[in-house]
Amino acid sequence: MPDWRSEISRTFAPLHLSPSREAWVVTELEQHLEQHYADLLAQGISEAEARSTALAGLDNHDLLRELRNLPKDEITVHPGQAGAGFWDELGLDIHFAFRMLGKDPGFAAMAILTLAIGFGANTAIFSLLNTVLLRPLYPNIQRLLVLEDVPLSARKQKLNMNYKMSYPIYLSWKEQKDIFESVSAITAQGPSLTGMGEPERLQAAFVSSDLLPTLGISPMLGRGFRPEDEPYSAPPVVLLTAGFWRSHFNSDRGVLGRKLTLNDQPFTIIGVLPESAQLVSFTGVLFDIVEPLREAPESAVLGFNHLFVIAKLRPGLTQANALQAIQSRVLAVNKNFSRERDIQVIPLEFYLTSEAKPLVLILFGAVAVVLLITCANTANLLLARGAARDKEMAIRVALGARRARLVRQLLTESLLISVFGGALGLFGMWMTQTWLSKLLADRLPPGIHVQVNASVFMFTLGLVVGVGTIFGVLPSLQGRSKALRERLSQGGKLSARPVSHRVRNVLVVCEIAFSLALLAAAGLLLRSFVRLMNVDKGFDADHVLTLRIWPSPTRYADPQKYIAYVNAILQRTRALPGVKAAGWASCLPVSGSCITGDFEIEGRPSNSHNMIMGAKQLVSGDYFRAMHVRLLSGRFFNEHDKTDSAPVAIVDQAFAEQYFGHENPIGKHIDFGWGGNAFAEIVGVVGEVKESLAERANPTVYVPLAQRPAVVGQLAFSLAVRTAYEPNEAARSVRDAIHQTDSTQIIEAVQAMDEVVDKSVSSRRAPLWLFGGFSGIAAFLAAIGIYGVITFYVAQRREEIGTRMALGAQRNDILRLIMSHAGKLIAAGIAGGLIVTLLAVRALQSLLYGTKPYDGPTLLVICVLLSANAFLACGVPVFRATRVDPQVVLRNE
Amino acid sequence: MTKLNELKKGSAELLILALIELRARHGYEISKLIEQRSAGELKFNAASLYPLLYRLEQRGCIEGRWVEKANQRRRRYYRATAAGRKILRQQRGVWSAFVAAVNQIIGADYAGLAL
Repeated sequence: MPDWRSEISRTFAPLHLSPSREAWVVTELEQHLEQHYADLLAQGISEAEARSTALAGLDNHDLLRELRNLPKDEITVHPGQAGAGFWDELGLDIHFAFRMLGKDPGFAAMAILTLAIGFGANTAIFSLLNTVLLRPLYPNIQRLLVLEDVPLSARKQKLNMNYKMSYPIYLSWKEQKDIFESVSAITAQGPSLTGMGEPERLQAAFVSSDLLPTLGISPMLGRGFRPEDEPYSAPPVVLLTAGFWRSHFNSDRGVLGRKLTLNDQPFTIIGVLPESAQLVSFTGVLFDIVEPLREAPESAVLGFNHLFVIAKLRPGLTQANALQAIQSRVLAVNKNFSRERDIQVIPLEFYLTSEAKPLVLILFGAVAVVLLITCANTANLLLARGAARDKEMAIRVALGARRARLVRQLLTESLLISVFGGALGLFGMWMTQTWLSKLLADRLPPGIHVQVNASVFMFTLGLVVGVGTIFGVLPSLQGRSKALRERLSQGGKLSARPVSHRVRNVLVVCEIAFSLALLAAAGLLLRSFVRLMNVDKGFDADHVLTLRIWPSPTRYADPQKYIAYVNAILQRTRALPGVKAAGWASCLPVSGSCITGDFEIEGRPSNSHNMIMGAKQLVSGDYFRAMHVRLLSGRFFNEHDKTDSAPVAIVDQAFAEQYFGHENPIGKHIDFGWGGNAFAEIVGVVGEVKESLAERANPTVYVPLAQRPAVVGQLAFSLAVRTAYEPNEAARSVRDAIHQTDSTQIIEAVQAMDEVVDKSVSSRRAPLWLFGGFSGIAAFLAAIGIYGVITFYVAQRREEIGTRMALGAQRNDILRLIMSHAGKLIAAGIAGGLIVTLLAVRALQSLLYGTKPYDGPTLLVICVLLSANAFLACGVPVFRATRVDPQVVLRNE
Repeated sequence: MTKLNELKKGSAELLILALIELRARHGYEISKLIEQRSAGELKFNAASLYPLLYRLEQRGCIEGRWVEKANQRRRRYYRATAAGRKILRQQRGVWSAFVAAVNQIIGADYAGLAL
């Protein structure tokens, strides 16, 4: 074969091309001539002739002239197919990345799973943050205010209660048209639905006709309410929510004009609300139907504070200005009703989200930490792999690969892992969103769910790309191509880069530190939860069955008939075998739904600045005995406390201490309100019963149900039955007892009192579960992290260990060598974690009960657990290290 | 053949662009294809082909890349760029119009029959 290269070089010598340019042209032409020559030979032409024919092809002056003007171009090598464009290359990169991942499925699975956990947790909590805090709940929500009619003492005593407004006061605020564009009211009741199969209790909202427009809700079918629907005498109409329309009318569009029998009264269906309509609910329930606010004369009275009032400011009025204007009207409003009350103004957005906000932010902080840990772990995995791929990279650089090309390849790989992780995380979140929504339901404004939507998707995408990019670029930054070439010249042996090793140690320390912080948070939550469950509730929930009824206000419109009805139920229930005591109460303990109001004590001039406030309870029968409420002095109510007998009352210890001090309340007289004009004699003092486990008991006054006939029809009553056996087994017979009295009576919320208690703390269970989950994940990832680092450490030191053992070192010495390294990392992690914990744990304060954020024993237990976990993770590599055979290692050297 | 060779100069760029319109080819492949498809009527030697390629590349009509394939030395492959494909489209139109006009005049009603 002729030496084409020298022939061509000779031709080009006079051109003085730059070496790289010459190399290019010479190579290209050489290949051309070579192939031409080979073809000619194949045609049977002699070697000499073929050579001269091929060389003749070079003989052209154009060639030299053109070459002088050659475009600048560096010689670059592209792997793979001919003519790869950007997209082809991308395809190649992805293909290659898949192959690389497939080669090391353990690594790929670990990295993808780790990231999926991090991404999934973050996506879930971001979706909460998005619905709770970022997305406006209602249009113009900054102009919406909640107005509360509060006693003057409320502000002074800083009672953290929600107050409602009575109908006359609401009307007078409605008149302040220079401040408010609209003032709307909403209240809730549970009417019974009959005539459509089984009788059932619905959740109904009663709204003023301007409420729906104020909240930006308009019916998707039919019409909304008009002012003429509001008078009590107006023909009754009703709007259906989308859910109710679907479940009861099969989404029939012909539903308009049909009748719904509510509380034995026909209501005309005038419209259906859209699925997206979310009515503000202060009761935390989702409504089935919406009725106009048709106030009955008896409930439209001063003092019956049952309306939740939402005002919309006139445009252009700032909240601060409005506040001033509102305050200036309080006097005028009070004067009209000759009373002294104050107004409390709360921005609606704050009202709806203030409870959920700290929790969501804390959770977001926690998942950010989980993400950091997953990132640290993935970085660790990638670094370990980067070390193993040094040789590959070095070879590719030596072959002429540009740095940018290598970075791109690594980037594709890490993005691929990230995308898989993100997809898996999103899928996992999508699978669990209903569960999560349920878990957090008590802490979120009603109707708000954990939900994947466009912005959540974008958030995840951002995370995926961000994390993928960082991980793609990082390892390549530390692998300088020059250093790589040097490494290749050393024989391409796998050797630790000191920098990478240090980085990995730091990462593991951080992982341990962050998981400690999360574990500590979970520990504190668990401790306060246990404290809470063991708190003195003031009653005994064991072996108590509860259920609620709300007798039809039409059928039992006569209060005496009503009272006779509930008494009859009581008689039948008491007669059941195994029933020890039974009684009615207008609100159950720990259900947090007691109505608060003001009282007057005889002989004390009513002073509006020092109002007597407390929860009002109507009870009957053996309610106290059924609940095992302690009697401190005096007596319980008995069968002689009837409608027409002398009015009596029982106060609890909190009420006695707060308003009677050292005086004995027994024999004193108190005005309970609610229709009884006479002062009632206090006949007993009972122990405090908690309305909420975590809060101090509200001062409470109890009166016999029979002595307040004016209001019984407005209230739902709960029956408490103490049984000798499992309370849920009694449910059937108690139900029958009620239905024997009235077969159409709806019975709801049948549950053991234990369950009621359990539900009341469910809002505390959610953060506990989530933190428990997050910290468990974190500890697991930290264990994997330290496992990886120690494994690598041992692998690197195999020779050293072999040599030491050959020189007489014992297994224990080796054990000490490795364990001291692991110990240093763990100790540093724990120390760092304690600092992080002490800095961050204060944020948890609002979620704790009876536990200080700096709880020594909890922290100690957590530190011990985490260290044990980390040392356990080192077990396998350490075991491997002590099994190193010095002979084998030394022979390999 | 000589006469045809005179014709080819103006149309050489068109020929090259047409060959690398859909897939990238190296220099020798291009010259070989021109020779084969014209049944030996058209021939480019190295000295006339490469300057053409370099000029086309400089003008941005084609793009050359060094490509490595398994068990082969790296080779320079050329493919038409978007600009090159646009020129090719234009020239194709001009060329067929020209051929049709010439055929009209010299009386061959079907180019295939004339050959």
